Amino acid sequence: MSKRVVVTGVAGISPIGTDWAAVRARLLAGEGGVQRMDQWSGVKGLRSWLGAPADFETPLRWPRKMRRSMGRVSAMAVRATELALEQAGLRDDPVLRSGRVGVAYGSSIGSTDSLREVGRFLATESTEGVTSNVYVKLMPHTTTAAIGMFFGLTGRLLPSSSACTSGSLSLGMAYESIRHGYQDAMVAGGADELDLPAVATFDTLYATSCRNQTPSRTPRPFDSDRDGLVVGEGAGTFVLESRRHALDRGATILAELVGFGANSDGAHPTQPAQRTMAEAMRLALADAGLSADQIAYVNAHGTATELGDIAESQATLEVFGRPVPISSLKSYIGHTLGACGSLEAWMSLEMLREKWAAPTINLENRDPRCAALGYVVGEPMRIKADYLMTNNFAFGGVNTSLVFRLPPREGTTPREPDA
Amino acid sequence: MNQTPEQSRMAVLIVDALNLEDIDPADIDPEELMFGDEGLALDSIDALEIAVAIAEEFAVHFSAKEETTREAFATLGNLTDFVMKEVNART
Repeated sequence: MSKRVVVTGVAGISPIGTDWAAVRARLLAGEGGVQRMDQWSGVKGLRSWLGAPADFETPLRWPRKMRRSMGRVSAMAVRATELALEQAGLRDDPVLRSGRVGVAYGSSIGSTDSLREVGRFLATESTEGVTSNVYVKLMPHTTTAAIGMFFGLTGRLLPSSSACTSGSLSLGMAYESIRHGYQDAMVAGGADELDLPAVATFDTLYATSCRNQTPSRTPRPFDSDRDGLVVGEGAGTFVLESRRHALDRGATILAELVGFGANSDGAHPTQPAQRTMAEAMRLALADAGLSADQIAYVNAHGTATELGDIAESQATLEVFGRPVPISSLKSYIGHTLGACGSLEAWMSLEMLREKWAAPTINLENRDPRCAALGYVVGEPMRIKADYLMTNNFAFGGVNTSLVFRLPPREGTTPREPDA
Repeated sequence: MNQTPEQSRMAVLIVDALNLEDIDPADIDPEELMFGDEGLALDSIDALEIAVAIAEEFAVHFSAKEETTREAFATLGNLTDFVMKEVNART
């Protein structure tokens, strides 16, 4: 029998704050975290000098033997996980070492800072400075392994490293692990650190914003004057567990993850595909046993790239057939790559738990090629939602869609039987 | 536990290589065991980091198999003696 999967802890490190109170204030004020990165202005050929850094330093109270094999990306992942486990009341629970709790986590690659050392080695053919920790910081599952080691987890270790769907794919993988009874609880999420390789990659695709003089005016998801994305950084972690497990230990249930859809384009490495994007959303709805009408809000991937925004909005309209309320949190935090799937899910969940949704900032005139959806603009919108959907898409043609159910509103829904 | 000038230099190299923020190089006892549960409580990964730093600083290389390597890493004093002997043998 399949198990129901609930959220009992969630936290993030983001360009607009590292706790919900701070993030909430920035969202309500319409203040994004994009900055001009003057230190990049000397990089030959780079057109975009914009980034959305997170205010984060690796805590020195952590044991040195834990810190030495963590790059910035892993440190942010571990810190977000520490906060999420604390909220779930599981930080030092022996169940973490029982084999019944695992981790699904990922990033675009590993710590890009360690890439410098490997790059120097390859360029000079000298191993000078290359230590065993360099590879551990660089490997694709560096965040997954760091979380497992730091918290002593002994269950499944599932790397979800798939660029911009790392965070969302991990939530799906964790959900399925619990749903099918392989694990009682999972840590799940994604992270990425802000560095030049990602910026330069998008820059070469003419997909970065180059409004270097006006960082607060970009990115502009779905806007006719958008000129591309801004790379950000951060980490978002969910603690998922079976509803039974959460109820048995008296945990507070924040939400339920009820649907996951994932597929792939099987086509172009970087161009999005409307048809398979829409299909991923339908798969998530089918998994949740819901119709599109029951979803009150969609958190868009909304990168502010020309092709991405058009394909995504048209796919969303194709599935919903109505101007469903939608916004892109990337207008505040930039594209946090491996983190965005879980970071944006966290922020969406917190907003909708409080019955509001943030507007997409900088969206002033919808690109007529983007579908006519219910874009939240200007002011936060009051939304009473039972269900929300959050979508993410990645290079390589990866599409994911997640559907969360919010806890019953007080006094409106009778207590339901336990499953 | 007075350090010789060579031991002081090696102590700084170890502290820098391992980012031992809470250790003053001058406080490392040349006779105290550095690995296991004692002293600095270093482990095999630390030894690899130190070996890379010594290779860069002194162009002295260690063999992972030789028993002399294990002995050399036991204490700050042993490590300094080993490296200095190798350096002096070259000149």
